[in-house]
Amino acid sequence: MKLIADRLSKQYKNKIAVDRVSVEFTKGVYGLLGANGAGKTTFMRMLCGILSPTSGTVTFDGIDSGEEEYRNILGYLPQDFGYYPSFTAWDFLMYMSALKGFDKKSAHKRIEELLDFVSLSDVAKKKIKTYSGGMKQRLGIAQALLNNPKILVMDEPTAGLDPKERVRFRNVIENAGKESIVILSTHIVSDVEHIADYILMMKDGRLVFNAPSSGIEGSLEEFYLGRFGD
Amino acid sequence: MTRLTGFELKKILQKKIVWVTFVIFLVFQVFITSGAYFIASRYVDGKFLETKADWFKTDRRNSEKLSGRKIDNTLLAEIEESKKYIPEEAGERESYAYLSSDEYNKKVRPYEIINRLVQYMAGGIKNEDKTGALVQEMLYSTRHKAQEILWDDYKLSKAEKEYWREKEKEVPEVFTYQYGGMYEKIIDMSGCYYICMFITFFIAICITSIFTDEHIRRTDQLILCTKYGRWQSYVAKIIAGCIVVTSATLILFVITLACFIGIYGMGSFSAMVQVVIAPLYPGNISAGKTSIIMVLLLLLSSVVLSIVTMVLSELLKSNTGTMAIVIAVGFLLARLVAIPADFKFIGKIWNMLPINLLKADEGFFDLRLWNIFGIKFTLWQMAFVAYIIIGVIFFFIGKRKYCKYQAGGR
Repeated sequence: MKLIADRLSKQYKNKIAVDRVSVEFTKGVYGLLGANGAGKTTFMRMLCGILSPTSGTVTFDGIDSGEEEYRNILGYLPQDFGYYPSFTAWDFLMYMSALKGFDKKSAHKRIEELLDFVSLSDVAKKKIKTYSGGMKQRLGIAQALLNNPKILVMDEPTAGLDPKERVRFRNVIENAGKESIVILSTHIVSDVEHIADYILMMKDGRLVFNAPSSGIEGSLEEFYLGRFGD
Repeated sequence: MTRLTGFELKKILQKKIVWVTFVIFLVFQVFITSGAYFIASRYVDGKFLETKADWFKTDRRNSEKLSGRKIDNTLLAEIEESKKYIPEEAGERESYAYLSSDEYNKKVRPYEIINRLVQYMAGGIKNEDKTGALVQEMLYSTRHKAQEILWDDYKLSKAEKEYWREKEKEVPEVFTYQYGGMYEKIIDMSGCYYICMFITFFIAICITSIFTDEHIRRTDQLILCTKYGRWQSYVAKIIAGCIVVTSATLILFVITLACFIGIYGMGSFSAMVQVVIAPLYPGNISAGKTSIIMVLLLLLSSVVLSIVTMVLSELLKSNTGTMAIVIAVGFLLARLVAIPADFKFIGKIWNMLPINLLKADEGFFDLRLWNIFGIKFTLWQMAFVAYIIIGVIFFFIGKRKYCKYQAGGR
């Protein structure tokens, strides 16, 4: 199981958002750190195949990110996304399951599990427009996990979650990392400190740090501030 | 695909604006088709003469009585006889005393509709015998003259005129009058034309947001990175939009049809289109067949306009911009701008726009022809082919655009 981003670049008119980033991901949790505007979201969108790189490639065991087969093993939680306000959580997850190729029966089973897991079972039949920010975020996490993805990409996944939910979320990610490649970006260092097997750091579109978290001495926050404190 | 289409339908039908727009247009259509029948009355000299309902019923009864009769010298003589009871003074002719008299209702009124038809057949050309009466031979020869004048107005080419002269040979020499009933109404403005107008607005208001909402809400990122989020999702959205529009068209049509049947009756399917709505038309086609063709054109144009609109909204990434284009080109310009007969090519294309084509006297019965590899096609025949080709082209342009969409720059 190997996800390879090879010399990945994205250039807009006069700005290089991602500059020749090359990374090999294997099973485990990857914490992607960087200040706002460092290029994390652009990099993640390219990993998900929804943004074409100006140059470079993304492949998973030889499968290109533009292929249906690649999308079949992908789970993505974008940083900022919307819902269908008149859909219930159940409808929304059923819709996502149809997009992910589930049949009705297996979708029902999986959705029940996930709703229970994100503590939304009681409000599953309520319209999403009545949900709080945290509930919406949990629903977003549920849709990303629907297809038991081999590649799970989460952009600022803990935004809007309360402390209790954050702890539960970390446990989920830790478990997911045992079987899959989990890449989560954040600018909150504590979110990844205890669960990330690897730490990646981006600055001005470039990957400036890529190492196992076990190799970082002392607190990750201090290490991070030491690099980006300026 | 079926499940995806179901969810796309759900997204559309959960929008209040879809229902509100549809109900408003439904009420308008019912009012246009039957409002006068139930509400209005006829007043002459300030006195109540009859309700519109009675007026329609009497005309229908009189028309049905004449149904099946040949428009020959016998019938023309009866028409002439009825004219003797019409006062010469215009004021008297329109007075309450005359219109409520037995003489008018029993001698003149039964022939009023057929008399009007005969006048139309003569194309306004006076060609009567020495006694002032219109006789069969003169009526039909005058009709031919009126046709030639009309064809010159259309600036038909020699080949086109020859084509229509050949077609005219298939038309019976002596017409048989048959009551058109609902078929006349389907063909004239209150039928397919108004439905087409309402559906154009419905599409502009309700269908333009199918794709753009995903971008505005940023749900596109979720969809596009799923297994079926590209091609299948695109097809599901297009199918859902077409289903909604086709259903709205069919519901409007069925309700309109029910109103027409209730008010005007079934009429005769085989009635010649010349005795129902287009006295100078040179082809042998029945009112029933014409109605079916127009309804099929209406349905096809609804589907194609839906596809074009959805794809435009995806290309422009703007539902308001698309709405403006659809209403401006599909309705306002199409109705306000008449292309002079000199600009034949543009004029033919212009009259093939659904809103023009479904207006019987302007588009459907337009006699200008398309010549494709030596085979001549009328505008409506060509429209079937052109609509399908346009629909397919737009479908694939949209597919390319949607499947290659980039969720960047936010």
